[in-house]
Amino acid sequence: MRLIHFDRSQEIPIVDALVFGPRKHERLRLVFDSGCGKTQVDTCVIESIGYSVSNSIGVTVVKGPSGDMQEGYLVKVKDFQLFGMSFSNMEIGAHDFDQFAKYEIDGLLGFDVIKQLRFELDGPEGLLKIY
Amino acid sequence: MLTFKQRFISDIIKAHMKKLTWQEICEQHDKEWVHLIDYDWTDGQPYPNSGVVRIHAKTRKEFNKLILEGEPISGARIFVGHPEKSDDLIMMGNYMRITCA
Repeated sequence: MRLIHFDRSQEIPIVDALVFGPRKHERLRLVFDSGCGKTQVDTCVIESIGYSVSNSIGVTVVKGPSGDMQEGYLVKVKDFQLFGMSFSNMEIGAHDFDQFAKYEIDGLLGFDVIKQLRFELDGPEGLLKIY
Repeated sequence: MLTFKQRFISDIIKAHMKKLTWQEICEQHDKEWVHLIDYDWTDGQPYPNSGVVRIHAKTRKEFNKLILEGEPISGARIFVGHPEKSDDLIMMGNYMRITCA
């Protein structure tokens, strides 16, 4: 079992992950968001690790509860590491997170990854237990 | 794996910039985005123990600009401290649907 501590003083649960591209890798802070279908990272981060729209495998549109739409693109990143697990050639949505520019996040860890985990969330203790 | 050039630049930065504890980073860069290199981060902890602040900026827009302009050196992106909270704003990161257009 792996114990992941999260900061309970934050408004939303944030975890860190490593994303690898052809230029470099970055450690990022992502919202642990089971309400999001696909993992998404800010376009600037995707570009800084060496991808661009020319590497996209599809154009995407995201819709939020308020109906706002935003276009982005999908890329397959070299590697994505989370909680000691590695997800090679993972598809990630590149979207502008300008609306969240004031917040401390670079993207959303979506249910595409979360559904592959066996975990228990202990909110009062601020712990995520990964089995 | 860093290229020779990236390693060379990273080594120069590390030689000229002091490695700070997370507490020192919080004191010096409160409410800023920082790019840390040569960082120590205990597995499973929400924040790093220490690191060298390579780039820092008050806004993410400025931070991203500096990251893209600089050499592609691997590191950790992190916002220091907590953002200002607004009582009438609920933080909600989730998007309900993503479709391939």
